[in-house]
Amino acid sequence: MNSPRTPKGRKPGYFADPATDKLLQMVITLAGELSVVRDRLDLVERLATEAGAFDRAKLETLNLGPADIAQRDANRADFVARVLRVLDQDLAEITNPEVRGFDELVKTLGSTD
Amino acid sequence: MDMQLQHPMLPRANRDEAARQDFVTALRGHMQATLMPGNQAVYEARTKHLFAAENGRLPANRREVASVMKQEPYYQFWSALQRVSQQAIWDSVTDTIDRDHDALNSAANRIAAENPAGGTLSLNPNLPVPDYVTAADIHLMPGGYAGDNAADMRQGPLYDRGLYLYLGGRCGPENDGLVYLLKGVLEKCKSGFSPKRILDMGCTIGNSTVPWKRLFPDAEVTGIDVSATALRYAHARAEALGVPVSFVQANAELTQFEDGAFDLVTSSLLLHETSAKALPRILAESRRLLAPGGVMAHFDVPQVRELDPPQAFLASWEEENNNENFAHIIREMDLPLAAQGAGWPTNVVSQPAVAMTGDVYVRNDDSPRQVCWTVLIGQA
Repeated sequence: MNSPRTPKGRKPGYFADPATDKLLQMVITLAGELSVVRDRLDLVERLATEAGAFDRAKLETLNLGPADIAQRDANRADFVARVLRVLDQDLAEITNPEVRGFDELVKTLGSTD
Repeated sequence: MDMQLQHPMLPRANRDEAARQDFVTALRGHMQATLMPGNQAVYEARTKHLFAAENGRLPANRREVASVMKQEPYYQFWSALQRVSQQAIWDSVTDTIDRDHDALNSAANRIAAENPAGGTLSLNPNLPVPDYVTAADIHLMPGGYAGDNAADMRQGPLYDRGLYLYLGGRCGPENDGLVYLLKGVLEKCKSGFSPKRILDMGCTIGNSTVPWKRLFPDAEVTGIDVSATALRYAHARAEALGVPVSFVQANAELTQFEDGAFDLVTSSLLLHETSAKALPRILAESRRLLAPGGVMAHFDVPQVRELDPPQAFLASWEEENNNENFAHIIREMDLPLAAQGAGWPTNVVSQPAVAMTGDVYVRNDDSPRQVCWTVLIGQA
């Protein structure tokens, strides 16, 4: 299932330059993903230590097979797509002519006619 | 710490999804506790003086505050972050639902078939979903309450988990805390009131329907909503929690129930998500549905008239930035007067309900002042 990610409605800007809004979203997404990785690494290190298998030197010498590399490539591509999702939203807005004006919507909601 | 009650209908995040939700919670917690109070501080220290220098007086209302605060870089950053974090809530839960949708749908069907608590679900596929529900995605939740396919099991679980993250757990493990606040107000207005038939309007996932049954176990409790997909989730959720309630697809503006069918007609944060046309209809319908001696109690957003201009401005962020598109109108309405216009006698009153923790703003005299929710109370 591929659920929609862009909410219907007004898209307010906050900074004089709209690029700043997008950059902030990217930065926060990146911070979130870094937080996810740190959480996961923490789990892995705990598990490995528990098993007596944690050895930092092995990180440098571990040999990866083609399937391992493909999996890591896919993970990285997903990561990049997630960080840059804000640009997809821009594109969707530009290509969807049905986006309704916020002012018009508020007028409709406020009208008793 | 995540204390949401784990019931079988709640989307089950894997480790990375849970870590994303934990990050959003941490981000929003920091914003609420640390960055949000800074808005008021910046306003007092700098922004209001900029307005005064130009106008020879301080801002008199929230619109005048807005005219200067929206130019304030601190506020700009806070506001932009608030928006980003709001979208991140839904994103983080959607990952889980996209991965696990079929299992959630199967669980809903299985629980509904087993029907362990004995509640009911009655859908009406011909019921039109009103414009105010579909025009914009309220709270930026993609797909809104109704979604685009009643057969999906997406909007319900998305809202249940997302609402918990949005509130930072402040409404309790079952997202039901507002009802306990409302019960407190009700008790003050009509001590010992024990309704036998309760109607919860605009119930979505039933998070405010279930607690009424818990509070009044002998009562027949009914939740109505226009969204079929939300009600399918609500029914499965209530059954999973072991609480028998009836969910009916109906529009609160005009239901199919008979005159005087209920002793308590209530809603939790429904009114500000409707429209100027729907509001009087809902209030009139509330009156029609009440038996003599019955009570209407609608819980809704704080009124701005009692707030300082900067408080009113900050309390109104959700309207412009979170698609609460009717809220800016209802916040300034005289609700008891609106009830009279809808056919109620003059006994309808607007009562404050104590704010949840985290909604406390600090004034410049350092005394905490609470932003109170509004409860519109009327007795038939």
